[in-house]
Amino acid sequence: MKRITFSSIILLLFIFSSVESYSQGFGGKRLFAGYNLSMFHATAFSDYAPTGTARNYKAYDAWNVTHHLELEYVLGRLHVLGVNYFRYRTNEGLWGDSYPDYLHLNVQGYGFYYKIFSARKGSIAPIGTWWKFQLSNMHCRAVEILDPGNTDNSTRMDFRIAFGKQIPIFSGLLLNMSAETAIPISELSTGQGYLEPGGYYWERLDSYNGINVKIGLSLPLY
Amino acid sequence: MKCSHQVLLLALLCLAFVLSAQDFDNYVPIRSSGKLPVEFRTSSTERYEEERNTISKRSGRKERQVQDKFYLESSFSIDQIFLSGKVLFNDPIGSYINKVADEILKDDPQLRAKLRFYVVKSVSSNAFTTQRGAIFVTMGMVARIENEAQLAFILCHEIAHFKEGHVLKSYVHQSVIQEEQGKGKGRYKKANNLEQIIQQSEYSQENERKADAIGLELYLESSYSTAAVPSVFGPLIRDVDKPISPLFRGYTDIFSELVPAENWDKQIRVADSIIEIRNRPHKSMIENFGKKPHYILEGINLADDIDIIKNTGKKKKLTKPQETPKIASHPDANEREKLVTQNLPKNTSGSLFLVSEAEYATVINMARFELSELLIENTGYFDALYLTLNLLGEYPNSKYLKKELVKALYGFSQYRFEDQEKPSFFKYKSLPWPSRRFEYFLEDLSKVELYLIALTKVWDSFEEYPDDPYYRKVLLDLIFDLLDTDPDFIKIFEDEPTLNKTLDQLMENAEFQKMYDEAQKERKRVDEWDEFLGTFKGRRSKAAYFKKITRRGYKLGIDKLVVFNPGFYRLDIRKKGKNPIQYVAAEEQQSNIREYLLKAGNDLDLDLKVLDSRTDQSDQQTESFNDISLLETWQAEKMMHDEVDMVGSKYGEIQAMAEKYGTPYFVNMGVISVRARFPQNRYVPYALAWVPVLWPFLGYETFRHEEVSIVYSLVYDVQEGELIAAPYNAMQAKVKNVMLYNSLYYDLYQMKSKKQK
Repeated sequence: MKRITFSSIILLLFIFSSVESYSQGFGGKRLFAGYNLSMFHATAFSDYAPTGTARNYKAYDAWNVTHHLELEYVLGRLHVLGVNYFRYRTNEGLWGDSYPDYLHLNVQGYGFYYKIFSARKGSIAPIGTWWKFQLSNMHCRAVEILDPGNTDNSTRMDFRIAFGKQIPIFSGLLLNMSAETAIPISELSTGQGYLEPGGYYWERLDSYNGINVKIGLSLPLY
Repeated sequence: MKCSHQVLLLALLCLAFVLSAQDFDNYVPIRSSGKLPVEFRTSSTERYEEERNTISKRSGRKERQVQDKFYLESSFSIDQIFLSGKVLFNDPIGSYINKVADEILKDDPQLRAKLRFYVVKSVSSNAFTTQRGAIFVTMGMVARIENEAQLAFILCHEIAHFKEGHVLKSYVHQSVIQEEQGKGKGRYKKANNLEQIIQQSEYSQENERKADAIGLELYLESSYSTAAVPSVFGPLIRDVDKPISPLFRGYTDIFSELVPAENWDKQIRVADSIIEIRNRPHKSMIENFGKKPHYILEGINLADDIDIIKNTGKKKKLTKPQETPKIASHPDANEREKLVTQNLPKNTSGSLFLVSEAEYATVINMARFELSELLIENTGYFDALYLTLNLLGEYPNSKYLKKELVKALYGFSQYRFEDQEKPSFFKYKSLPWPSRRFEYFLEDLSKVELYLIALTKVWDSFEEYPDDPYYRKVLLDLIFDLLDTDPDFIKIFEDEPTLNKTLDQLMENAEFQKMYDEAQKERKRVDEWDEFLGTFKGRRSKAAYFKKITRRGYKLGIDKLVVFNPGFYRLDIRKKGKNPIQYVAAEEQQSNIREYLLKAGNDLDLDLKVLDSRTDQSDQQTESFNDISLLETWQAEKMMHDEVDMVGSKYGEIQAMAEKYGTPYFVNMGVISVRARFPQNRYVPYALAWVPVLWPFLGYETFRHEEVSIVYSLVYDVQEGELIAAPYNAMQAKVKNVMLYNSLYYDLYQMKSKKQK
């Protein structure tokens, strides 16, 4: 089902692009591929000590870092549709006496989103100020470092909202800057063991996705 | 052999006469010709760099700064005049003025080489000089000139300004006053704004007196008549707010021209209206009013005029010229005349014409022909009517003048119908009698009467020149007006027997009937459109509609278009009292616009031509220049008629241009980029100042500014004479390079895209 949905989106993109031989967008280019790095300082969530290391469990110098690959398509002056793939991996954790386990959290996910550009600020997609609304599906795997064979899995769904700006640089690239927050949809999420919904590691994931600042580059493809 | 020489000589003489004589019956409006002068092609930045290098390094730092600023502003301002399309080059009038200048400066070739003289298409009576040696004389002034010697004196006056460097000196003087007032030190430290203006006016008036004196010296060195000098201060300077017609030798029976004698009913109707509406107790006019209105009107002499003024109280009393007001750039004309006359030799000598009297006569008539068109472009319908009717007295068969008459009459009736009585109609405080009589006549005509006169005149012209698209379009427009469904409008026409009678007569003609049907269809289409626009909420439904399509995309489905005079304007409005125009930055981007437009057009597979005389390096520069000039004039007139829906006076010319370029779509595009102070809350910096950690933000807030760039397009369908889309996009960013290209691309994309059904 998911594959069909994804394929349908890609198909739709190309149907749109073949309507006219000329088109709007960034100098006529409507399809963009981009890489974004989202990050936020971990101390903001020190209550959960989300990414502390064995050497520095208070995590004062730790950052949440996520890598995103995006493919987006300009539908009109203010509208953009896109899909993205992202992944991150936490550092090994040391969570004090009550949590003696050493775990890695490996997360990868994909999502599809809709961006609306601000008409009030005179934006012409993909340049200008925008709001993004995204639905993401993440697969999380918790791996015990001492016993890598012992893993737990979970699937999370969340709704992400982002606000940002895209500006052209070097006459052919787009620089993206944004802030993003994720709201988990518990009803559609599942997990067991370490990753049981509402559990400690579940909260760690919440904090990780809670708020991020993103910066990245996009390249017009077609 | 000898005989054949004589024949050849005679033939050459005849040819020379034919070449020099303008055929005013088939007059063709003046256009610039030949190669575009270097002055028009050089970039303003280049010119500025050149001029600033002339600043003496010995001058003080402040002085150098002021001069630098002057050269910057003047380079760009003068170039703006050159590129406005209002300045003619290689034209007969300019050529004649240059010949007169040659005559004046024949003993000073060095000075002559520094000066260039141009005619500006302007109705005002003025001449002005620039620091770089370009001297401009307006068409309005040339049209008022009575002899070559008067023109020579005016040129001498302007040359004196140039020799003395008055333009730069005035600028420096003004800067000094402003600076001293701002800093509160020096001679002008306590001057308020009014005193500042007075100081500047006094300085300017002093310069004018000097220019008169030095100009007179130069003039007296030539062989021009000394007797002509005092007369310069009359029609050219003092009486410029009076209609031009008193200068004419002949007087045309303007009323019978407007209302043909054979159309008796109409004449009576017009006459009746004059009596009915006129509440001025002018006995002689009413008592003597017979069957021929013009007969009566001619019977009134100038003495009666004073009575009218006294009795009606409507006109101001004629007063003696006042002393020079304190705030004026020039001294009073009487004072100047007196000063100049004092310095004239007692014995009059010299000639009124040195270059050529025949050429003068041709040039002056050309200027007057041109002036009538300029007046119409500026809604000066009263002057245009009066001037044209007088000129028709001299050239009754002139096709050009007949058209000018129709244009003025049509324009007048349209404005009257929309109750848009612009001050330019009757702006005169005092009028010489013939023109005042004409003013009364026009003022007293009712809307319908004026409409009827226009309709019948247009119909007559249409019958005479059926192939002229202008008459056809205007006629259709007038019939279209008749079919207005607005109840208020219908009321105006109700119980108008004259109108009905005239219409019945016209309807008997098959061609008129055909056009009536055509207008009916158009009216239906427009009414449906108005109904559609009515569905948009907002103060002005049309504006609301444009706003909506600008946001959603306005897809016009145009495959071929011409973009004319794309512009880039850069302003920095952060500091009050500082010239906000960023000349150099704007010109840098200006050169990119043409390139980007052509690239975007190519990428979009759009047949696009850019008319931009400065960056156009092709052989067609002059042609482009003339076309831009026409388009700019057409556009300015269209904007002027904002509240009045009427056919522009350049309709015929613009149709020919649409045919030439193979498209009716002409677009004026541009960017206005503004840097402004950020509209921050004034308490924010105070709040931030209390918290040391936030001081970096305080610094950011202090220097923060806002960038707004407005990319606009005005898309015209010149065939319909309509503005079909006026999209604009105000971006909160500084637009340059890629962003500029993207914005232009987007607009062109919208213009090319077809609406999906």
